[in-house]
Amino acid sequence: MSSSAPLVEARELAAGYNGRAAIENLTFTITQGERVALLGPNGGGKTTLLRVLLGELDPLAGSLRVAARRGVVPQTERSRLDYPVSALDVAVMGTLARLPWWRRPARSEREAAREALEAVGLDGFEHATFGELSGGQRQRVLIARGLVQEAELLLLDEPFTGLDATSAAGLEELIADLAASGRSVIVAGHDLQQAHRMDRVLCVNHRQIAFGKPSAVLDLPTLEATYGGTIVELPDQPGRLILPPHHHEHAT
Amino acid sequence: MRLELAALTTSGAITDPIRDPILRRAILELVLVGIGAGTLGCWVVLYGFSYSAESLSHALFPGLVLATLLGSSLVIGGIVGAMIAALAIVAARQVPSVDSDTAIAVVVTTLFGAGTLMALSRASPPGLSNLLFGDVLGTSDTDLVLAAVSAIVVLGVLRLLHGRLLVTGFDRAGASSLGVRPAVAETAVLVLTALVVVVAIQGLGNLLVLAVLVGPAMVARRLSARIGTMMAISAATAALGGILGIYVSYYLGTAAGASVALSLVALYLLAVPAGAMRA
Repeated sequence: MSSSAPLVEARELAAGYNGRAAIENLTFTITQGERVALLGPNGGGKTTLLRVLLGELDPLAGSLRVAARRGVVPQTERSRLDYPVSALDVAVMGTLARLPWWRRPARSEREAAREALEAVGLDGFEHATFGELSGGQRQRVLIARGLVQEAELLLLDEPFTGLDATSAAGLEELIADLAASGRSVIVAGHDLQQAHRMDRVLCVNHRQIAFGKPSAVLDLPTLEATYGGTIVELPDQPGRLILPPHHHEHAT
Repeated sequence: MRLELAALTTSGAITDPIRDPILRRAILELVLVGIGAGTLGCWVVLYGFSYSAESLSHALFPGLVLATLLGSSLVIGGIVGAMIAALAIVAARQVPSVDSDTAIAVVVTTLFGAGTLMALSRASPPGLSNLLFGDVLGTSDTDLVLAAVSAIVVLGVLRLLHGRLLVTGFDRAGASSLGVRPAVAETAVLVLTALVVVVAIQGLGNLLVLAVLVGPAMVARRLSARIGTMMAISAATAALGGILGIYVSYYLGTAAGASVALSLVALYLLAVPAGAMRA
C-alpha cells in the first residue's frame, strides 16, 4: 500500500500566528497511500498543522517539505449550507487551481467533476443542492472536490463530526479506498477507535506528543499527555479508551 | 363590445406611458441599470455586503456633489469620493477602541452629511438634490450609454470571475487551497458595486440606489437555489421593478425613484410566499 518515498517530511517544525508558535517540535513523515490520524484537544494545534501543510502558513522554525498536490476537506459545518450551489458546482471548484483566471470550467472539467462524484458514491446526486445533502454526503462532495484537484495528499478536518454510525462507516471505507488508490490522507479528529484503524497516528498538543503506528501510540499515558489526563478507560472493556464528550465539540 | 372596450382600455393603460419618449428613456435606463445591478446584487447579498454597499453609496456622495458643482464627470467624482472614504475609514480605525463597524459608520455619516449640506445649500445650483432622490425622467443619451456600458462591464467581469466568486462565498477559508484569492473576488464585487452606484444614482438617487442592488437579489434568493438562475431572476426582477415603478409614478403622480424602490419591495413581498411554496 505504501511506497517508501515520503510525500511529507517535517523536522522540528513550528508554526503559529503573529510570530507566536501554536505548535512546535513536530517531526514526522508521511508516505504515499498512508492514512494518518491527527489527534489532539480542541485548541491544541490540529488546524494550525493542517494550515501549514496546506501552505497557508509558513513554518516559524524547522523545516517542512510537502511533495504532493494538496486538497482540503474543511468541516462541513463551516460551509455555507444556504449557498446556492449544487454538488457538481462544488466538485467543479476543484478544477480552478489549474485553470487560468479568465477561463471558465468547460465540459471536460464538468465531466471530471461528475466522475469524481461517482467515485465517492454520489452518482445521481450532481444536481442536488449542497446544503440539502446529509452530513456524510457533504463530506463526500468535498472529497470529490479534492479528487478533481488531483490531490495526492488530502487533509480532512474532523470529517466524522455529526455523522451517524452508518455514514461514518461509509466515509471510513471511502478513506481506505482513497489510500488504496495511492493517496495519502490526514484525518484530524477525536475518535480513538477510528485512529486504531489508521496506518499512523500523530498526537499533538501544542507540541508533538507521539507519532507512529496505532498499536505503539494509542496507549493511556500518551493519550493522557495529549488530552491532559481526561481519558477514560471503559471498565468492562480493558484497553478501550474513550474521550469525554466535550472533546468532540469544535474549536472556535 | 364591452369586452373589446375593456381590452382597448387595458391596452391603452399599458401603452400610454411607452408612447411618451421621456418615459421610454426612463424605462430603458432602469432596465439597463437593473440588468447590471440585479445580477451584481446576488453577489452583494451572498457576500453579506449589503451594509458595505449602502455605506459605499453614501460615502462617495460628496465626490458626486463636487463633481456636479465643478462640471466634472460623476464617475470621476464617485471614484475620488470612494478613495477619500476609504482613506478616512483607515484613519478612523487607527483610533484605539474604535472597531471597524464604528469607523465605517462615523466616516460614512460624516461624508454623507457633508455631501447633503453641499447638495441642499442655497448657494448650490438647483438640481443637485436629484443626486439624493434621483431624476430618472431626466435621463440623457449619455446616461443611457453609461448604463449600457456598466451593464456590459458588470456582466463581463462576473462571467470571467464566476468560479472564483463562487468559491470565495462558499468556502472563504479554504479558497486559497483551490488557487483562489478571496480578496480579489471581494474587491471585484465592491468595485463593480461602486460603478453601479455611480451610474444608477442618476435615476434612483443616492438614498434609493440600494433598492435595485439588494431588493431583486432577495427576490431571487427566495425563488432559486442555483446561482445562475438566481442572477437571471434578479436581473429580470430589477428590470420589472423599474418598469412597474414608472407605471406607478405615471398613474399615481408619485416620485419615480421612490416608486421603483417600493415596487421592488412589493415584488419581494410577493416572492416570500412563492419562495415558501417552493421550499
